[in-house]
Amino acid sequence: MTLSDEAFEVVDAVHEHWVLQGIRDAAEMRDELADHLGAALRDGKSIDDVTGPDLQAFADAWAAEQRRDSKLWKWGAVAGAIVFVVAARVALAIVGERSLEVRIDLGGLVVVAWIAAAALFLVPRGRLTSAARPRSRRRTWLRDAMVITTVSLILSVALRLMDAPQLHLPAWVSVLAVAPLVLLVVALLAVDLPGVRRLLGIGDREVYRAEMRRRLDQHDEFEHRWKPGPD
Amino acid sequence: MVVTGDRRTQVLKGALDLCVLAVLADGPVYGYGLVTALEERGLALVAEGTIYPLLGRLEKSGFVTTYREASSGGPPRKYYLLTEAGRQELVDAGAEWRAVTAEIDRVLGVRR
Repeated sequence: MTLSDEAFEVVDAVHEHWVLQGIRDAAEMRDELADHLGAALRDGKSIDDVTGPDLQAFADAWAAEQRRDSKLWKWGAVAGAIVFVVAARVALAIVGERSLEVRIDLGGLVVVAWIAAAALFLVPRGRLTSAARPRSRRRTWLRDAMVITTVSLILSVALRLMDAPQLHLPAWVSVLAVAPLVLLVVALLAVDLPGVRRLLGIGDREVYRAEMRRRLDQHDEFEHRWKPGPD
Repeated sequence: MVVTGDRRTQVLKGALDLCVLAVLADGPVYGYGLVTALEERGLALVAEGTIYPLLGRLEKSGFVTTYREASSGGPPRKYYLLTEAGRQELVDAGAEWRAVTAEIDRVLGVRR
């Protein structure tokens, strides 16, 4: 018994979705799903026979019954996105004005922050639904893009009508605002390091696939002569 | 009006936990083993993965507990095991199911 690349794509996508949702036992659930898919495919079933046609609904239903590390993670992520948008805007202003004392258009900042926060909520869903279904991916992305664009346009018009003010930032505030961006760059460079991926509970995909294939082969070998019992 | 396909889904939603408890009453079983046991008893699920949220609910309710078994040479697997509370629930819910189906059979004029 072994898992196809398509099945691993589903396992990876669902697992990352669970990790991003703060599911404590995401790794254990991933193993269980991979094990189930391996056995089902061996018996001539399809991925859809296991997950159903809606991968998002499947993953969310399973996650709903699990323990989460924190319900605040999503709001924390959105707050983080807004902080980084502000940092990026200030960094651009510093480069543009060649000074640490800069002026920021508040209206534009609000719109960009909204786009970042909305994308953080909507885009991971698109990635998950897309795992093995390109058509579904296009539909999901199109819908999300339409929602984000429409609200952005409404916000832009509303802020223009309200004549949103400009913010004048002193040098020390600018430096403070840019600091998260520097940290983000460092984090992005570090995220591909195996140690960091392990820390995030994601792990190295290729290593995991090789390990799971080995384990599934072992299941084949022991399937019929292994009688389990509780401790 | 509920069409036939939807009715089967609705009935299954209400009875799948009972079926899972009944399979677990025969002994501990892992996820896919549970699905095949249900199939062997004539119950095929539209999406097999739906048993995992259900198992999660049963575990939360205290009807099921889990353990990981790593036998000599074999890889570890998560097994689901019926608790005493689960065994009692199977008895109670089973009686309830039989009472309800008997009532419906009487209404439909079905002879047993």
